[in-house]
Amino acid sequence: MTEQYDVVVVGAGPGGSVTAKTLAARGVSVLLVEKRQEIGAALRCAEVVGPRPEIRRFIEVDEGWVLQDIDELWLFPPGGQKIEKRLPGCGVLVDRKRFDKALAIAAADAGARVWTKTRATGLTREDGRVVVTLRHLGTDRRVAARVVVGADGVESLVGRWGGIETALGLTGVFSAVQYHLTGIDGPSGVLQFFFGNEVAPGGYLWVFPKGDRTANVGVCVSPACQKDRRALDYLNAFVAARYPEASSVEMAMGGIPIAGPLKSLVADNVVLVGDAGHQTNPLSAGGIMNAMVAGAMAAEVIADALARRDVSKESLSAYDQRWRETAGNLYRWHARLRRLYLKLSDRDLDRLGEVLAALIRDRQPDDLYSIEFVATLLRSMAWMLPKFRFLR
Amino acid sequence: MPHIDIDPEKCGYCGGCVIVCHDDAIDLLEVTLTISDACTLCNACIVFCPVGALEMADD
Ligand SMILES: Cc1cc2nc3c(=O)[nH]c(=O)nc-3n(C[C@H](O)[C@H](O)[C@H](O)COP(=O)(O)OP(=O)(O)OC[C@H]3O[C@@H](n4cnc5c(N)ncnc54)[C@H](O)[C@@H]3O)c2cc1C
Ligand code: SF4
Ligand code: SF4
Repeated sequence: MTEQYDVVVVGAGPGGSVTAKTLAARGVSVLLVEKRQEIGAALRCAEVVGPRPEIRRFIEVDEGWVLQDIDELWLFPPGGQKIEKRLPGCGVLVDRKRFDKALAIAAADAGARVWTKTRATGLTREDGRVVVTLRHLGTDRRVAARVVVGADGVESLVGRWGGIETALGLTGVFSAVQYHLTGIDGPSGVLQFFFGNEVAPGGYLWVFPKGDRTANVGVCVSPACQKDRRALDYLNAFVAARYPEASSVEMAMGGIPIAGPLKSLVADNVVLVGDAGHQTNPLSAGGIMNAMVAGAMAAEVIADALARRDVSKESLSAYDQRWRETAGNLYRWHARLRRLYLKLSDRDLDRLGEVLAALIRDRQPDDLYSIEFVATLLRSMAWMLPKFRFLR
Repeated sequence: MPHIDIDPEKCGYCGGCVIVCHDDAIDLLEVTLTISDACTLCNACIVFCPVGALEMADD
C-alpha cells in the first residue's frame, strides 16, 4: 500500500527539520525521513550559528547545547598582522548533534512524522502527485505526496531526480576537514580565522573555542587551488606547528557549496532547502542558519501552494523570489568575491587585509551583510583589476 | 578495468564527493560509499576528497 502525506521532507538536518516543523504547525501532514540511524551524527560541521535571537525564531535556546557565546573575530592574513573585530552576541557554538536532534524533536512535537534509517531512493511524478521511494531497514516503502522537499544536504540527489541540476565543479565547493582538539589554550568567545595560500588555499583555517580547553580546529580549501596537497595535509601542518601537544577527540569532514545561488530551487512538486539548494554563504561558508531560514520560507510557500491546490514549479517559485530578496541577491555578490579570492596571491591577501581592517572598523554587524559593503570592498580592490575578469 | 578505489579506512562518509560528481555515480549510505558503472573516471571526486580516500586504480 502507498502511504499518503501532503509533503515528504528528505533529510533531517537543520533545513529539513525546520521545514517539517513549520509545515506541521500550519496543519500540513508531513513525513520527515533521515537515512542516518542517528540524527546529527556523524558531525560534519564547525558548529557556529547565531545569533541567539535568530535561533529563537526556530527553537528555544537550550543552554545544554550551547557550548560557547561568540563575541569577537580575529582574522590573520598571511603576513601575520591581526585584524580584530568585536561583535558581541554575534553567534554561539552549539553541540550540533544535540542541536540537530532538538530540531527534529521540535518537528515531531509540531506534528510531523519522523523516520530514521530511512533513505529516499527516487521519485516519480504521477497525475500531479509525487511518489517517493524509500528504503527502511532493507524494505522498500512508497509514499505519495503533493510535494517533496530535498533537504538532503551536500550529497543531495532529490534535485537531480526532480530535474534540478545541482552537481558543482571544483571551483564551486570547499573541501573541509576538522579536528575537535583538546588540551589547547586560547581565548574564549573568539573565532580565529587564518588565511593564505600556504595555510588554506582559496579558503581559510579556523580555530573555534568549544570550552574546557577544547576547540574545533579545521580548514576549508578550494580543490581548484590546493595543488598536490589536500585539506587534511594543510590541517595537519597547522596543528603540528601550533598545537603539537593537542589530542583529537573527533574528526569531521565534508564539502561546502560556495558557488552562490542556484537559478531555481523549485521544479514541479519539488523544492530544495539548505545545502541541497546551495544556500550556504559563499564567503563565510556557513549554512546552518541559512538552511533554517530557507526551510521556514519554503514551508510557508508550500503550505500556500497546497491551499491553492497548485504545486507546479510556477506556483512554488514564490520561494525563489523570497530567497533572492532575503539572501540570494547578496550571495551572488559574495560568490563573485569568492571567485576573485581564489585568484589572490599572499601579497594580494595582505593588502586585502589592510583594506578590510579599515572598512570593518566602524561598521555594525548588519552592515557587513549588505550588497553595499561587498560593492565597497570590490571598489577598494581596484588594484586587482586584471583579476576582475574572473568575476563574471 | 580502470575504476575508482575507495579506502574505507580513510573515508569519513561525509558525502562531499557526491556534489562534484556530474554522473550521479556516487552513493553514500551511512558508512558505505559505492561508485557505480555510471562513473566516467573524470577525477573530480579524487581531487575533492579532503582526506584522500579515493584513488584511480586499474585491475
Ligand atoms: C567541516 C564543515 C564545517 C562547517 N562549519 C559550519 C559552521 O561553523 N557554521 C555553519 O553555519 N555552517 C557550517 N558548515 C555548513 C553546515 O554544516 C551546513 O550548511 C548545514 O549542515 C546545512 O544544513 P542542511 O539541513 O541543509 O543539511 P545537512 O545538515 O547536511 O542535513 C542533510 C541530511 O540529509 C540526510 N540525507 C541525505 N540524503 C538522504 C536521503 N537520500 N534520504 C534520507 N536522508 C538523506 C543526511 O543524512 C543529513 O542528515 C560546515 C560544513 C562543513 C563540512
Ligand atoms: S569525500 Fe572522501 S571522505 Fe567524504 S565520502 Fe567521499 S570519499 Fe569519503
Ligand atoms: S571519477 Fe568523476 S564520474 Fe567517477 S565517481 Fe568520481 S566524480 Fe563521479
